[in-house]
Amino acid sequence: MNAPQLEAEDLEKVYGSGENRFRALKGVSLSARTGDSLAIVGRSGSGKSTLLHLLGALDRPDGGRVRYEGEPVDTMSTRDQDRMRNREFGFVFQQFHLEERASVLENVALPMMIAKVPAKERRERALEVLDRLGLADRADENAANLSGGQRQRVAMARALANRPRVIFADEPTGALDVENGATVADLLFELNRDDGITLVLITHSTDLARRCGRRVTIVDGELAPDDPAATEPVR
Amino acid sequence: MTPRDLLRSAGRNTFRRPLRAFLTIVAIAIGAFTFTVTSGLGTGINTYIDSQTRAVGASRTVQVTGTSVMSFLNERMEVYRDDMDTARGMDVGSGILGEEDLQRITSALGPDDEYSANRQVSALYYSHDGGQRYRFVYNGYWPGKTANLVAGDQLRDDTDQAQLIVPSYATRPLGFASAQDAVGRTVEIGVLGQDGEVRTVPGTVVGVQEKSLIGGNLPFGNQVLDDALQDASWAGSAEDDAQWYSSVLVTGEDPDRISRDVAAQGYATATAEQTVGDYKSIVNGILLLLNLLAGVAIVAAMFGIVNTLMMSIQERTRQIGMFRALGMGRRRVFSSVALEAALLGVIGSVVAVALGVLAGRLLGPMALDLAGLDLPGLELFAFDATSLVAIVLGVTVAALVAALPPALRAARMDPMDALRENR
Ligand SMILES: Nc1ncnc2c1ncn2[C@@H]1O[C@H](COP(=O)(O)OP(=O)(O)O)[C@@H](O)[C@H]1O
Ligand SMILES: [Mg+2]
Repeated sequence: MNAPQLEAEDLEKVYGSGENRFRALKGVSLSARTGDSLAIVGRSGSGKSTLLHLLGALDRPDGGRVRYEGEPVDTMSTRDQDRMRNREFGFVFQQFHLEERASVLENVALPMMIAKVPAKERRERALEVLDRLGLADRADENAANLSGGQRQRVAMARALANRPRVIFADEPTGALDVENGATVADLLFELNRDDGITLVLITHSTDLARRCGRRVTIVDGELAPDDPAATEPVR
Repeated sequence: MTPRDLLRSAGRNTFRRPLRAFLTIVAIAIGAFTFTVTSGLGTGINTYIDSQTRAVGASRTVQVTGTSVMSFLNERMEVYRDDMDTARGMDVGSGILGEEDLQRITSALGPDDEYSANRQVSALYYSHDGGQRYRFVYNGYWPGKTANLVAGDQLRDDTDQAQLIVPSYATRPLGFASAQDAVGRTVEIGVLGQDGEVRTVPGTVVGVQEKSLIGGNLPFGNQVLDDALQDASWAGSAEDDAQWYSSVLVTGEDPDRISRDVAAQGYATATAEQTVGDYKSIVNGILLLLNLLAGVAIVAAMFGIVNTLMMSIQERTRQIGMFRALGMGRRRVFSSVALEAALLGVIGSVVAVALGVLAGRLLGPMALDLAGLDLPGLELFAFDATSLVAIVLGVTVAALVAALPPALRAARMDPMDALRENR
């Protein structure tokens, strides 16, 4: 139980080439145990999103590696990576990335649909999650008709629908007003606390960051040297 | 994702841009429609030709002529023999046959084979009551032939009256007040005999037939008239004069053997099957051309599909990337794009097949009417389910092939395509 669930080892990421070559990550190592809540903070452009994408197997590093449950992600087949994102991970982004033409329910059910959950069960589970997020009555509405706060809650419901073990959230409250932001944040911590879901959260809000169990600060693609999290043993 | 889910999302994606989907479907439908109409024509005409062979009952008969009817391809010099002057007035389009030929032909026949030699009729003109003469183009005797009449009745063979039916445009020039007026009146047909004398054969007009695009524009008579015309054509030939025939009909149990043996003697032979086969190859040649056009239309439609789907996935880069982020596999992305194409193909071809069948059913009889082709049993368009299903399947496969490049491109997209997009 002591082994880390999610582990990054010397991650490097380079964008562009030649003149435009840019090292967005210059060797970042960190780890998280099951049920952790980890805040990634730092200035805009420091490489937080890049790091999150690598941790969530949404992108490939140019150096170093990510392990999930001890297994190196880079040696997994594309299929297994797809499966991992579908079954183990949930994503919430600043831009909600909803299917505007589909109903709220269909949006929430999408990961389950990909997982081939039968339609009936899909509906039940989606309604359950929507109920928890206070959106059950909007289930059959078009996603485009909702407000920003509601949309982000739909995105969260979608991230939760397939019962993930890790939630990656990239500035989930960044596009929301204070009130909606607070609701969404409360929900995230509730999931972390009550369901034991590991939370990896990028945020600009010091308040949110403070509510996390651990914080790492990224400066120009590197962990800040004085960051206590950076000295945490990677193993 | 169950097949139903796939279908639903494919449907939604296909009709994201309704106008674009519609235009692509139209392009597909044009090709499929052409295939349908061509297939309908092919089935209709070939079925008719087949049924005619059966109806004629002439399947045991072999027609023997001097040279092939289609001999325009091998036109050549023919040595003139002195006795050929008695073959005057004969149509030599398929050569002429003399007694010597007849002997060589019959020597090739089996003991049970029967034959009859047909002489040529040399009718020249016809007129009424000593009035203006008009060239009488005789097309032979066609047992059981019926006409679209504007006046009078059909020909009868259970009579000893020499009857004929004249085209409606001929009634006034011949000197009748109207078509109705012509019925029951007599015309005189001038026939050139072997002796160079022109004799007239009287015939009673029993019917007047409608003028039309194809057929119905020549006078024709019953068997009594035909006999009279033959007699007049050969009048004046001396007993020892050479006899000339335009064709010999041989009937036997094994027409293929007859055909082979007689052909070996250097004559052109045609069994009913071969004659029908000739018609069929002409029909099939035309159909091939139409099918080629349909193929070109389908290829054009395929480019349309490539274009439509390329634009579609370009627009949906974010969506597809998001699906990939949520764990949708490359294969599924590929098949969802392919399914979109299949949907376009199926909709386009089913609509086109339905329209094609409808058009054939409605316009087929109308076209036959317009052409005055009142041939019992002839349906210009006939559709069989197998070919229609084959058209839908074929067009759908073509659509799937066209989907290959866009589907591959879509399958290569990854999550970052969604996340990068809104930078
Ligand atoms: N696809 C890309 N191509 C080029 N540069 C990129 C790309 N993505 C990110 N970058 C650059 O990498 C750096 C880190 O980006 P990012 O991880 O998004 O930062 P953050 O999320 O901390 O604001 C930025 O300077 C950004 O401009
Ligand atoms: Mg960012």
